[in-house]
Amino acid sequence: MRAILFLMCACAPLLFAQEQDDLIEDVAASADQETPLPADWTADSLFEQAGTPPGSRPRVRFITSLAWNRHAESSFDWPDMWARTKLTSQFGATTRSELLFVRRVDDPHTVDEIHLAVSGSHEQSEIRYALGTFQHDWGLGILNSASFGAARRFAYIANTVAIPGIGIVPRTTSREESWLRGVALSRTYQSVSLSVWGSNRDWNGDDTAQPARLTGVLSTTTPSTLERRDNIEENSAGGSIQWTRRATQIGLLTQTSEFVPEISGAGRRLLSASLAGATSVGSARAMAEFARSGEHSAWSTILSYGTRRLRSAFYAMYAAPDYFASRSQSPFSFGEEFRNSRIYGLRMGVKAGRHDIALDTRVNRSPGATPTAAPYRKSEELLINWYYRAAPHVELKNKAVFTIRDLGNGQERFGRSFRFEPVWRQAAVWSLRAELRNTDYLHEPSANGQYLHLQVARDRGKLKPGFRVAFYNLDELDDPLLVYEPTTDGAYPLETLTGNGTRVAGWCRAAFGKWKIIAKAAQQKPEAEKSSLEFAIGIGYHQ
Amino acid sequence: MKKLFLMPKSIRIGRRIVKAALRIVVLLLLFTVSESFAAFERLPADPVSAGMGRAGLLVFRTGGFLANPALPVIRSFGVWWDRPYGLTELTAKEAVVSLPHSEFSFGATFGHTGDDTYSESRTIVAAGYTLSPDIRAGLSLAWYRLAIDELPTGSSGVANLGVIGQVSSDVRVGAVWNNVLGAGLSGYEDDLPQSLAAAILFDADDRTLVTLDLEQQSGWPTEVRIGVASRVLKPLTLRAGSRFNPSELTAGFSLKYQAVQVHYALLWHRDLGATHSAGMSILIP
Repeated sequence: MRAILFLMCACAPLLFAQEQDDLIEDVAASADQETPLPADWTADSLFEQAGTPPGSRPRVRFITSLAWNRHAESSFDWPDMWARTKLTSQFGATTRSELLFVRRVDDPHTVDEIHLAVSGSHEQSEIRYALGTFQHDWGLGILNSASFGAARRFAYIANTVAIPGIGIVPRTTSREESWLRGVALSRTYQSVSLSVWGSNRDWNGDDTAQPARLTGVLSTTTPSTLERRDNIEENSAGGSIQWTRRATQIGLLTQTSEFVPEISGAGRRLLSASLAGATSVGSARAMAEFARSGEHSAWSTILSYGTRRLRSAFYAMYAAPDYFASRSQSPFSFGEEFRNSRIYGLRMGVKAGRHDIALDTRVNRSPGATPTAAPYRKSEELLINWYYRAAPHVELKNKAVFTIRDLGNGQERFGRSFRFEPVWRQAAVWSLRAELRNTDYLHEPSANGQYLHLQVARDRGKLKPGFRVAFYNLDELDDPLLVYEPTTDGAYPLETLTGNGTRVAGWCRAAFGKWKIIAKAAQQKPEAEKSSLEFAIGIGYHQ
Repeated sequence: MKKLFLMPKSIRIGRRIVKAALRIVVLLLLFTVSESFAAFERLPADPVSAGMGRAGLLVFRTGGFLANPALPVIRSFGVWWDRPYGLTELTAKEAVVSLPHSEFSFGATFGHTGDDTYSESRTIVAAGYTLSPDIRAGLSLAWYRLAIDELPTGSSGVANLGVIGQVSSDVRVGAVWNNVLGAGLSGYEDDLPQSLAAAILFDADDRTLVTLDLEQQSGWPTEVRIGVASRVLKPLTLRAGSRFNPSELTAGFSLKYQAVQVHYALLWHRDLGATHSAGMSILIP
């Protein structure tokens, strides 16, 4: 298991940029888009999740990014500015520190956030420690999850292998739902890994009513949303024990949290536990997690079998309607808490010559929050990915998605989405994406949307410029279209497109010795609104 | 004419009120044809691409640079003519000339559509360049002029970018970004159309080709154009095609005699009827 994990971590950074882009986009877009991600959401760079291969960690690493938007009617001020700096340093053989600073400005409001993590290991006692901000990635993430955890990689429909949570992760992040702040200690003795932690942190929440409620990411747009900042205090402690032998891993986690003031879904005190395990026999692999949080339960399982030519996996997840775990993340939905879910799915992948076809069929039977409420989610989905290497320099990447959703009150929605994306590698990487979407309602007119973009980018050399022009016609559709676009480290990499308009973006990545720079400029021209300019610049250094 | 249920006594366009009945009829016809009153939306009167469902981004021909400035050219001169849906008022005429020079290609055209009441004219110059054995890029600059009787004259400068790639010996791909700068028509609130078009062409053999164009404008459904051309005899080439959004079926042919080629195409719109397009091109020695 550790060897597999090592290989995955080592190989992840070597993925071609295009494959990594698909991974990010598939994960984020594979969720049903009833709850589109907020435009001002900021997350750790998903590229950073791939991490640096063990044994080759830089001693000093510095990445700073700055992004700002300028609307057509704005003056010289820079509203909607976001700046992020992460400084990583290594001291001695094992001690490492990470400092993260994030500033968000939506004139005149400014929000600053600072995270510090120090980690290392004590040689004599072989205890690893993390002080400050850290994450806990456990099992399939239904109780504790880092932002891009185990099953979220599995959400990429060409992937039939999930990676179990990797435990305490001494990493800073501004993602509200995935960090703890305190101290964590872990030690591995032969086949047994132990960890304990204590945390005190604040959550953004609305405490105007009792019980209070967590509100997630902080919006900087209005004073009233700023008043929700850090309103709710959480004191938590927990421990885990995990036994690993060859290809089998089983572990138990328990934790307790106290919220001040008490919050809906958890009350004042919340006692949680999770039993997670993974094993593999030959080409078959199984992972499962069962969690109990307060009086409510959740579980998730993935059974997979794969050879070089044929891969398959069955997955299921359940969370009770009132299940609450503040650091959970739905295994197949990006950025959502895991609650009130009943999802079953089957996926398969076939490699035949130059063709690679993957499909994922999923049934969601989540009940309504109350016996008389409309079904929260009731849907069937079929996703098909077809990758064809037509020639050494030509690839075709195609996707089709079919969905049926019960909206309640006798209304149903049928969705179809087709994407055709040829890629040609000649001097640069030329790619074209054509996407057609159609939504039919049972008792309403159907809606159509189209998207077309042309992109050219270099993926080799010290200088890697790129350019994209996109036209879209999405006005009839209810849901936005998410499209991945290269950007600076730490910035949210998906563009959320709605309505009709055009988008032009240019970027350039440069690597000179130990320095790397990325600069990006984009213009968004919605049809019925003023255009806006977006700029981003990032600088990184590693030694 | 289908939408003409009642004849108004006057209509307002911009700051002007048009009262003459004939002019109102013409303007309403334009509205019917284009679904919204926007100038310079119609594709050039090119009988070769017209016979192939208007799919012309990658087809080598005289005047091809109008569709894609990256298309290579031969030394030639051509004249085109078309009458859309039988409407004399919208008759279009175009003269094109092109010549290659080393790795460059150059082309120029002057075209006119309409009559004394409503007139669109365009002057376009284009240049293409071979970036590598497999990639060509091109730029065209266009000057448009719109003249409507008793209304202000509008004009605009437009830039278009094109690129072509030879993916393999029998597959060619390309794309065109029309109206890169998003220019509008002076004197009018309308913007000129801006779009992204992409195409693929497949040479089935040395006589037959199949091509597919997609064009996307913001706020409009994707226009799909499919065309096939086959040189059935040495001097005779037959073409057929279809276009979607709007929907048209097309057919055409070319006859070649020494340095002269004559072209004809018929386009059929299920609601508006037939468009005839004809032209002649002459190779310049």
